[in-house]
Amino acid sequence: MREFGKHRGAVVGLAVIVVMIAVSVLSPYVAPGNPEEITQERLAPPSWNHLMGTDNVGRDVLSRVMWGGRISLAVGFVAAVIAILVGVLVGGLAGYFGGRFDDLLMRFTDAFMVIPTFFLVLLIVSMFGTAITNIMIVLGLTSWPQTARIARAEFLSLSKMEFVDAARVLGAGSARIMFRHILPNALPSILVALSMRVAGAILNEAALSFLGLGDINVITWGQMLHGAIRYMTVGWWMAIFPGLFIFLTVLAFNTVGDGLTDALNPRLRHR
Amino acid sequence: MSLRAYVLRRISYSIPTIFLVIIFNFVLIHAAPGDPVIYLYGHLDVTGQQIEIIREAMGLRKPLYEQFFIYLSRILRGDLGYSFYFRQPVAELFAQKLPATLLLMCASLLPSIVIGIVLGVTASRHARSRIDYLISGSAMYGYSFPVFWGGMVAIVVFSVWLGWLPAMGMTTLTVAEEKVGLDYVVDVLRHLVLPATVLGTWYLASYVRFTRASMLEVLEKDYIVTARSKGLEDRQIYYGHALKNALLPVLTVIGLEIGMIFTGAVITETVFAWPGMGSLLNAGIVSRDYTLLMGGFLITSMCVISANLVTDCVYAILDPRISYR
Repeated sequence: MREFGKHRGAVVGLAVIVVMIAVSVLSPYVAPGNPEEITQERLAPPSWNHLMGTDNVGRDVLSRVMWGGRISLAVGFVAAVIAILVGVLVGGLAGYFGGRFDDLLMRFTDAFMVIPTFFLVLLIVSMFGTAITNIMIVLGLTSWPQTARIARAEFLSLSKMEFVDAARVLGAGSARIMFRHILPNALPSILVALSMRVAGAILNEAALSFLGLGDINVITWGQMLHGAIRYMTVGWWMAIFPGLFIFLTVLAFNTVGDGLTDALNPRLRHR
Repeated sequence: MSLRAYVLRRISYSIPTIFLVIIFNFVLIHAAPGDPVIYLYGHLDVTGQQIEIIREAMGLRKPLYEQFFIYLSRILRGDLGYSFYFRQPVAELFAQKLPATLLLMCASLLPSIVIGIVLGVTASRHARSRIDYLISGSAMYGYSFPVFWGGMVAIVVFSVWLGWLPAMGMTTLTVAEEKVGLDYVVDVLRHLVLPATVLGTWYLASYVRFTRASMLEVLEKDYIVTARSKGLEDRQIYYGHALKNALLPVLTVIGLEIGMIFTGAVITETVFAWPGMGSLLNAGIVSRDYTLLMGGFLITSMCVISANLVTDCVYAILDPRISYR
């Protein structure tokens, strides 16, 4: 943790994430207005009344950005957690048991990693509906292979450690060794993967929304950008601010991931 | 193992991947809520009787495994179905649109690979210095913005405000005579600048990151220390000794990311109305033309799988250790 603290960018990133989460959670109290309220003040440029201007039907962009953060961040976290659960399960089993079983699982993982999952997501979401829960699940279930690779490497090297032998001698079963002994030691790497997955899922949700496959019943940053396409020339603020929030959030998660990697990798540190 | 045996084995490895993609398509069309006929033809006004005829023709009455083999043999023959939105075979549609997408991909990919590697090496040469922080820092920024948003901003700034470059399409649409020869090429290039730059920035960022990380790893090796103690020049050490070895993992990453590259191209095309596969898929999304979307998934998968195969074989030729393992 001390090494992480030395990574200035990562600390700033963490602060940005905390602020983003706080603003999103507290948006009913801190947002200046109602995000859904339609007014006559259409496409008003940023001013003291509307710090980020208003959109094509007169809704306050700042309020929408704050409320949109709730769903966008939720998509990021839920999808990332699903991806981590599947990835750690697949990678963990493969790394721990090894042999033929490992070969089979990893062959599947590699095959999955190669295929352009975004097109698969496009297809599934357009067929099964664009409800936000659908999007979260689909994004999660298609982005686990990278995590599986990381988890496999960790479980493989940790299962050869002496403390695992000690636990086995003491009579611990495979499940207990995996969850109680190996998993806690693999957590830092899994945390890095989580951070990267959140960033990826937020970007992918935005891309889906942009292509018109977002949930039209909720406000997300991607959905706001989708609405802004046709008004770019007359209301640049409609496009700039939601995009800026996606950018900052993704940047923050990526820098935190990088900071964690540096802190975990002492070989690269002392240079 | 000889190089040929390696290549053959590598080809056999990609067969399960192709199968996986085909199975995904097949399962999806059957697992989706509702009738496959309604999915594929539902947006047309079909009567109950017509549905029965289609069902018979599609072989939907046969057992599922038999249906799968019918589907498989159709795909192996290159028949990807018929787009009811465009009223054209899907394979034909993609064949028409692929060149524009490939042009955009190459125009953004090639410069970003070269510049990315040079910047990555420079960053590793001055690791932990100001130059390194500047390069890796900017790479982090370039890596984190949504491509389509970058495109929107670029259009607003360079087309709308400054009016330097065209914002939409691949050629200028004029009522007057069509541009020919050099004029045409210049026109296309002018349209290419914004989408290729936006897309390229994003690739560039990831290649800088990978090259730098890979270089730092290699620079630890004993033969670099030897090269240094021999008194070789910096240039020779970095570009001659280290980069040669550091490039291999970068090559793999480029191969693995072809899928992402396709995704980025498709999204960028949508922003700039570039008439390639992205615009095609976008039409498929709007009209819910599932045959078209499935064809898109299949074709991009095939491209990605072959690109992977090629990078792996190039890798094996460049690095004999791989095939002799």
